Amino acid sequence: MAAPLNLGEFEQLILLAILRCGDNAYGVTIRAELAARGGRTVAPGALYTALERLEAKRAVTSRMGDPTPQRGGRAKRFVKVTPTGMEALKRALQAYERLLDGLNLTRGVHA
Amino acid sequence: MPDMPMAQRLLSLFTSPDCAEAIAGDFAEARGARGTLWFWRQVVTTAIALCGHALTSAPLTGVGLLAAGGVLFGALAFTGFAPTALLMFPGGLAAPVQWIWLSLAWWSAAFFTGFMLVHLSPGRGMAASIVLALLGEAALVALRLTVLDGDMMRTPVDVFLSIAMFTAVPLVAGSAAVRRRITGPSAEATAR
Repeated sequence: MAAPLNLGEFEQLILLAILRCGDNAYGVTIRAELAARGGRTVAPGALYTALERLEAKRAVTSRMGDPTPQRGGRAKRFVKVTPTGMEALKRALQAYERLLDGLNLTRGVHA
Repeated sequence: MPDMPMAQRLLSLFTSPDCAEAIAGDFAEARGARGTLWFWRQVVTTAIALCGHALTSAPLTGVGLLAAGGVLFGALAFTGFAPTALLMFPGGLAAPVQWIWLSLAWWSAAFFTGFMLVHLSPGRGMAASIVLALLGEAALVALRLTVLDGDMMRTPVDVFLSIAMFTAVPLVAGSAAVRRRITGPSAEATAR
């Protein structure tokens, strides 16, 4: 049986941002989502290397869109979370939930 | 945007042609608001990040490639042509023809080493060549600053160091040539 896929914190954030972007998830929108909701400015190099890593782990797949004039005739590379990636993400978030249970950290008060 | 093909070619040295096209396009989208300097800074920093990722994502392969490159270059540069230069053109290191011969031997060895690294590992060979070139440059600078003291800094030694330092250029060029050939047709089509 294959070992379960483990995701780092940054990889989890990227997968969540991809899910939030839906069918329009590509470099620019993922970065914007991470900045708007994740509260962190991500260097493009870090994002693209993380996407390559996630694709190598089969947590995401990508497809090329059509070239557009505002992009200098270059196509967008849309990414999508795979069932494997979704499973790993759910497992990671469930682990967070179990660890957070009873701590009330989001209200800034320890139980 | 006439410099887009150049940006795309630079990125495609370290990632697939499709990824390079998409990344260049992403930067082009924001270029209007942020400017050309921002665009090129993103291209260069992303190329550096992809280069680092190529080696760190498989550290053992990376170390193996660096070792293979070092051995191959050493074997080519310090056997055959290079000793022949010393034997064929006696008269000391001051003889210009000897320097020309030595330069050609070392630069050819470096080009071939870069060429072979990408053949061995198309995805990581380019990054290995760049790291090998940087390590070589660092070693030469250290040699110049430590071992070779002021009294020894005569013209032959300086010429030797200049030839050796320029070796980084054909090393990276050899890798880039093969990488371009591998990723060439689709990259060229989209880069136009």
